[in-house]
Amino acid sequence: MKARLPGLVLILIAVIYATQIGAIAVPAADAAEVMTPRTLPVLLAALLALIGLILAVWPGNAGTEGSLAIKPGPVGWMKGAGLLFLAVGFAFVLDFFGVLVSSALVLFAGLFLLDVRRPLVLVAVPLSVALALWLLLSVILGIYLHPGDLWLRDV
Amino acid sequence: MFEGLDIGIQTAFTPFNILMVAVGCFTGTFIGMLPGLGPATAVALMIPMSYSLDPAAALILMAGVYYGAAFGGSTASILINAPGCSSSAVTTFDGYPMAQQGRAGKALAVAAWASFIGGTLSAFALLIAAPLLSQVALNFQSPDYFVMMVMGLTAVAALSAQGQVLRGYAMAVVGMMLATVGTDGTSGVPRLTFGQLDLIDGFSFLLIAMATYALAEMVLVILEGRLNPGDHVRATEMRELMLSRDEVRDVAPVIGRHSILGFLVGVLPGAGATVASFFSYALEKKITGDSARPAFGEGNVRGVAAPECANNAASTGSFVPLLTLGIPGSGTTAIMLGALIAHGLQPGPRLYVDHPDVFWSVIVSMFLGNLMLLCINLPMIPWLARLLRIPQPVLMPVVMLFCLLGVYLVSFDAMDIVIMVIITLVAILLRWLDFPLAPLLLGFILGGYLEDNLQRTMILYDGGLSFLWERSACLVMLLFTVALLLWPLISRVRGAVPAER
Repeated sequence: MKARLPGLVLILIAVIYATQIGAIAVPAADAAEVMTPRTLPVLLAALLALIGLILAVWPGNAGTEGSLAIKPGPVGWMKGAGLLFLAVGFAFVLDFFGVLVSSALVLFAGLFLLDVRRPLVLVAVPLSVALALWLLLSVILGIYLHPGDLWLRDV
Repeated sequence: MFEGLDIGIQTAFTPFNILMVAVGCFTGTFIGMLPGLGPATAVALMIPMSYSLDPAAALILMAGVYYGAAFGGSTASILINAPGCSSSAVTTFDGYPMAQQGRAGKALAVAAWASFIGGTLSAFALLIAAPLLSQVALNFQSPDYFVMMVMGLTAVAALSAQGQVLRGYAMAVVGMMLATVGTDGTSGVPRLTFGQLDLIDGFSFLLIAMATYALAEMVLVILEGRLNPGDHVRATEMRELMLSRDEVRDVAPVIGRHSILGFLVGVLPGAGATVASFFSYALEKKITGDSARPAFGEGNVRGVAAPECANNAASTGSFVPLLTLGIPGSGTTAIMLGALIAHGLQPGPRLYVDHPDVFWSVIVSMFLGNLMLLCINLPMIPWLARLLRIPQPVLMPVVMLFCLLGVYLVSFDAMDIVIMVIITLVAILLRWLDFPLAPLLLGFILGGYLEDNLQRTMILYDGGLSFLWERSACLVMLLFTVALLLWPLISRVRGAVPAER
């Protein structure tokens, strides 16, 4: 079953993609054309499903076990997932705290997540990198960076 | 050609563009040295910065980062047996044993000289080959472009690692699927947006590049427990970098032949620096035979020179299809293609005519870049090596922040970061299932253009397929595509026959 998994995943992607093709509106003027907005998506869904089917039926032809052999421990999973949660968290606090503070916060949390415990590193790296990035983007390159809703309230 | 060369020299030798070469080479070397972050990631990280530059300076910067990263990748391979990028993976075979024998400086110096000579010789070849190919490609029309894009996608998938060909095709298709998300360029109809307004403009190229390369790679490094604490990297002394006359005599012919080989492999769409380095190592091992002392894999200096020379020559060679046909020769040049498009340039034969300053200045900057790599980096090797002592748990959050801010700065929409994380999860799943991601990126970039050209072709030929045999360029490329499709089958049969005997 493990060997057939790549093929089955491809079929799943093709099916999810195909379910959305019906929702594409075809303008009346284009309906009689050979190429409509649906043509390429239909071809791509069919092609991916076909490749998925081949990989599912003949998994021996599909390649090696490769990365499937890698089995991260619970700590690895937790840190990997934690890093992605941090990225999502950064997206949610960005508008509220602004780029400078959010950057420092995500760096601090990232360092802590990856087992950095030296107080000097935990404080100095986030502050210096966030400040350097802000200076580079905002001051040197002149890009507008949102200062953060929290700090704009009092203005 | 000489007129173009003059334009290139005038553009590339401005103080600002020389600075861009220096910044690119240094940044690329630094990022390339970091295990897990290869040229593709290095170039992707430069895209947000390149938006504020003019197209010529942006491409010069990214080209510098590209061959700087290819050069820098060897440092981590030699010093800590952790290749900075896939193209320098083969350097670990002999480079790391040399470092263990106390010859780290020697290995780094050989890698530096091999990269410099390989890069410079292939820049000369690029100077001659690129304009010639551009003139031929100027006669191309929509049907030719369509078939050429199919050929490029087929080549990338067909030249995937052994046993991954079908998976390569699947990823090219998934990439094209991602390209169809958003408003259809011809009819203006929203497609495959799942009812989300955030997807109405489709995915940005940077978002896909960061998600599939940078962020996914970082999470995989953590999952696989490859986090390097950096505490076991030995300091390198300056005097270790000198080569003896015998060593020069030994590696000179190796560098010569693998410069040519690397360039030719790099020119093939899809082959790239990794294929070139593995191919060169295998060939050099075969040429030298069993007489090599020390043996290959035990610290032979030729085992460092051959792949390092070939991967830099191939990096330069991969600019030929990018600049002249608009078909990237590797995953990294695929990212550069996207960046150029974001700058309003369409790489291909018209680039040579419409933007000669960009076309020629990039080629000229390569000579400067290779020289700069040697002049800046050779004396800096002992200091650069110290950067590997920065623990990855400290470096990784910083690199992640670069990725997040890079994606945010494209649209100033924080939701793009959430979409990037979702695509990262899918990319990790695909990597876990051993799918190659370079064809996905190429499929994403070429998908839109492929559809546009197919649409125009269908209008021109009234929905028929006669263009495939009526146009000679189409026919030649179609036959080449069929050969690429059949190549894995042929090589399998050829491999099976001797085994049966």
